Amino acid sequence: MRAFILFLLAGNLFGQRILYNQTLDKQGQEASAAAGRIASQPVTDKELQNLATIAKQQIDDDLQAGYLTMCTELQSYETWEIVSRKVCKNLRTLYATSDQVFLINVQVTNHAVFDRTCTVEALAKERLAFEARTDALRAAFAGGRMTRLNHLSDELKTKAAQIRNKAEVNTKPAGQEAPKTAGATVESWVKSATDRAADVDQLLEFAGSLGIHTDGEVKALGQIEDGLKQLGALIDSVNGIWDSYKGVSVDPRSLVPSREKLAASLLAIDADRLKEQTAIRARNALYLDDLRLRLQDCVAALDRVHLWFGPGEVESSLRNNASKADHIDMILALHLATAGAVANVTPQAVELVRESIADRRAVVRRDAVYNAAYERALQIAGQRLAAYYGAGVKPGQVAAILYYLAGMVSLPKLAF
Amino acid sequence: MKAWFAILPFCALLTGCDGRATEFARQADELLREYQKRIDDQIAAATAYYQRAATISAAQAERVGIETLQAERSERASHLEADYRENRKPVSLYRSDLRTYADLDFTRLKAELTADVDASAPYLSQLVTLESNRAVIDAFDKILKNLAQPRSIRDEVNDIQQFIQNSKTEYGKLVCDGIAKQLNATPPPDADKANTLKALQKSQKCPAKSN
Repeated sequence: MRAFILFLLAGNLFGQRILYNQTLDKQGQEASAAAGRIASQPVTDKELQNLATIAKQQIDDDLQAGYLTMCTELQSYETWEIVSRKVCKNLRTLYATSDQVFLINVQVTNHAVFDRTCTVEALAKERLAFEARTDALRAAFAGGRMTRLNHLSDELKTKAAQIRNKAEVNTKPAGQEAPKTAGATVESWVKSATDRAADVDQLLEFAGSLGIHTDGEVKALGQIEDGLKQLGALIDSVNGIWDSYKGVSVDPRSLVPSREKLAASLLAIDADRLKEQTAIRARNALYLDDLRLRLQDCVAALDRVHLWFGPGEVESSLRNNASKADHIDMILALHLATAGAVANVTPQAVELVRESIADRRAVVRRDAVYNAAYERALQIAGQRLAAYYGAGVKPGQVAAILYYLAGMVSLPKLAF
Repeated sequence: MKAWFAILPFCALLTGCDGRATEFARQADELLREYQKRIDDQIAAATAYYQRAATISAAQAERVGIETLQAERSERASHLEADYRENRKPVSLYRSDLRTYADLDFTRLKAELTADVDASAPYLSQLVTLESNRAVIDAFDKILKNLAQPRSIRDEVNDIQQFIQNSKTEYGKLVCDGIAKQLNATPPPDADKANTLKALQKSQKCPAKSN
């Protein structure tokens, strides 16, 4: 009996409720049930659904605007000067580095000055500069185009493994099992997230399907390499965060899922975004390279018939009694210029929309990770409250102990 | 019964002050409010994003509409010029030719005049409305607030009385079961013991089925 009383009192000294209370237990159970129902996933799902709708809408808008520009450009093909100017501007844009594109858009507004710089020789020079840049990239891929990419991919995997090692050290106190979150250990969770971040097989597969024959292929490989490098930098920064966590005091909101899990989740999201961006850019590079070749052919065809920034109207040239070969060159050049008009700025505009949507999607998914962390903490809190109020000595237990201590039926007389 | 009341102060100690649990509930409620704020902010940010996207789309649509007509005029002028010059169409019917364009322009004008005042509305209507599960969060908040409230002495006394009553009931059941077991034992108890047990059974108000 003394031991029993001591046991009960010992609990009380720590502020622990000893006697079971059905009302509080019910509230604890309700807290646990309510916490279990908290979920922001429907909001996230709807956000992603809305983003898909917006992406479709914006891409449709861009395609419509592109179609209109194409119609307008075609209508403007009255003189060879105008045709040449349009082709020159489009071709220069494709030769240019991203910094130069804006400048070209400004320069073209001053026709007289712009036209003077659009000689066949000047364009050939710009083409050489462009090809030199591509050649440098090609040379980098020459020793086996996949070697560099595979090397970068291996680096990513090594860095991901480093994060996993740190997760193991940080989450598993010496001699203890790693803490569990939602049925899986933090380690396994981090492993899955880092594996996902370092999994660039799809990009490598795409890279593997490319040759280094065309400039577009080389540029696409360059885009993929850039993407892999960015992924590496991202994983590096996460590694840095991990290092800085060492020695930092414990988060007071210790129920929130581990920093390791959050960091790994965010890493996976950003890695997905970068991979998507890389794929978009690589594919665009291939398309634009094809367009560049068409425009170069256009310049060559117009130059052959001496109509590159030539005098006169297109219609009168087509009516003239030129040779069959010249006629074919003229008509071919107009078709090739039209190809430029079809493309105009649409690929870049669509790329921008896709990238912007990918960025926004990453924000939504990042929010979802944080929300899930809160939800997990609240669910655990609910479960703990339920466990606390569900515990305690129940009337039946007290009765059983007293009955046992009373030695069967002798106690009722004493008690009542 | 007196003995049961004698253990009442002792029981008071056993209910504990629940200090840690109430504090835990309070902190959990703080976390819940923070979470709610996060969700609200997220929905507000998404809604602002949708509004911007819809405004851009509406502006783009307006621009495309204007430029489409511009392109149409240019294209038709070019066609008609060639048709008139090459005698494919009679010049005297130029008004009829203009009419086809006028119809097109009028259709657009009609659409503009009858459209929603807020040009972004049609784009926004295609999106799913975001809303947090406020009812669930409010319910949880209410429970946590209850649990975070320190319990009054009156509540505690009532709880203890209820606990004692329940314990007594449970105890009575055990006693009655014990008596019934002894009365029904094999071999049966002798007459004196059986009478004592029956008297005890009566005093304990055991239900008839016990024996």
